[in-house]
Amino acid sequence: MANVQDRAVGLIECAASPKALDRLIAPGHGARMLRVAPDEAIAVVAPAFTADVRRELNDRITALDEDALVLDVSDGWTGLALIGADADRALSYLSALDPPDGDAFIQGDVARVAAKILREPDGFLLLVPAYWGEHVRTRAVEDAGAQTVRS
Amino acid sequence: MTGLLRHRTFLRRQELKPSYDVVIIGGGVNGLSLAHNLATHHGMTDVAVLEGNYIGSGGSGRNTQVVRANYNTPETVPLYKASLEIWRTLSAELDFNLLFSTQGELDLCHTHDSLEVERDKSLLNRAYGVQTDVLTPDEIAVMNPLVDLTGGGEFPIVGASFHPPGSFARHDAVVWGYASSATRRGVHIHEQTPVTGIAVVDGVCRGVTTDRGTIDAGMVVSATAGWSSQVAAMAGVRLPIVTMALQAFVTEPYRHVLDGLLSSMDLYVYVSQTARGELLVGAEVLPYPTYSTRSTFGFLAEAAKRTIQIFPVIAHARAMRQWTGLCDMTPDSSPILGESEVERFYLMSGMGTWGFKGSPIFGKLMAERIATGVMPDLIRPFAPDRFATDRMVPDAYSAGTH
Repeated sequence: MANVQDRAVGLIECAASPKALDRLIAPGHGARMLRVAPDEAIAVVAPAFTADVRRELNDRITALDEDALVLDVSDGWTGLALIGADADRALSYLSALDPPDGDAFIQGDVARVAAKILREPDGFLLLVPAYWGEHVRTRAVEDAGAQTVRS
Repeated sequence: MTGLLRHRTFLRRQELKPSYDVVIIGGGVNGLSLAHNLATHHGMTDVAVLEGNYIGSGGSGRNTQVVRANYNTPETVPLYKASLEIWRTLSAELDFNLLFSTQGELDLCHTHDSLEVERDKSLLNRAYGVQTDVLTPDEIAVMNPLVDLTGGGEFPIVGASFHPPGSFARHDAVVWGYASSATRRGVHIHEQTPVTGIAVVDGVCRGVTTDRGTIDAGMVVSATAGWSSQVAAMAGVRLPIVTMALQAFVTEPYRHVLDGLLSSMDLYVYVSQTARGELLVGAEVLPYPTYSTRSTFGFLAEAAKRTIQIFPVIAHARAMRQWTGLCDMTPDSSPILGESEVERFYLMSGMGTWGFKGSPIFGKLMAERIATGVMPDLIRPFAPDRFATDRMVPDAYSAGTH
């Protein structure tokens, strides 16, 4: 069985020179850093720590690149947890991408929507543009047989 | 992407001084227009613009770039007409290409009631020298053969108004143009500097507190959108504003299929084509107050459906990006411009869906008010005390969408 469930997440975008991002030390509070492009990284964090991580990232990256830009982009994204014993199988119905291992992430097509996929202990965290959240949730239920769990 | 957003490209970083003659809260088009006008036309350069995020990060970078003057009241028509006149030469004034383009605006009516309103609007507009014409369905078909006159078979079009001066300006360029002009003349723009308090002593505004320290100010102007009621509350001023969200989306770019703005006065949806070829669709503000800028699939589906009913070729387009901005709606759908009940605390607030198109004239006349102490006639009706004295300027019909 796989479940699909809303997952509140904070996302902090950090745009800076590749050199600065190479040297950036990841912030605390359990933030996961996704290097989505040479000049862009996104921190995924529990919502309660969004402001702290934004401040921390801003302090660290502007010390390396004074033109860096750090923005809270949480409103632009929907987090969906695809979890359970059948999470891998459910994901295979939604995407042709190979699931990521460990702390790695992948980005690409999930249910015909641009998404980022992060491995979690019990499955995956799918990050999709906010307005596609309902669509991906529906596809997870109808195409992949996941059960909806309302948080 | 980061190259476009670099501070260094357009803005010189300045030290935050302990005092300024004028502190403007909000680095959007209105705050920056005010700064530009104070510096350029009144020689007031000891001015700071404090922006909590980056300039243009609020409504200024999220609006749908519409500029027009076809409003519905004797107070608003001349105001936006004056703004449109500035828009036409603003690129030269700012020495910055704003991609200003006059393409006209076609407002479709599916009911005889709305057509009647458009007829009244046309008469009022003409009385103030603004061209707005009423068209028959046959004339609409000639003007834009891609319009579905059956309204998707459900909402037949009975007529329209056409506003030839309707225009577009690239919103990011407007922000950067104002900012670079103001900074060239000595204005300080401080990004990532949220205001956390406003100092009021004996009913007089004396300065602001930021997370980078306190600043004494000869006067303070709130030019925020989305959070203007919260900022005003820091000075003890209560604004009659409800903050609501307005969403829009663009498709992937396509070859040229649409000139100007095409809107429906009954379906509350509008579409234009950007200079890059994207079809840009907007609709009315969401019917509930919120500070969330989270976009919704429900909006995308509903706005797309309504747009297909008037402009069916969009059915084959792929939606690419969607976003949300915040609109500070006043009870009369008109802006609040002037000095508040707190002396030396000024308001450029309640910008709803009209802040972008009005920004040139709002900045010019508020600068005149601040520099000379004399309230210009054009903005006198929009004073903050009009709600208490029951002298509102109701114009909701003009202002619900674009």
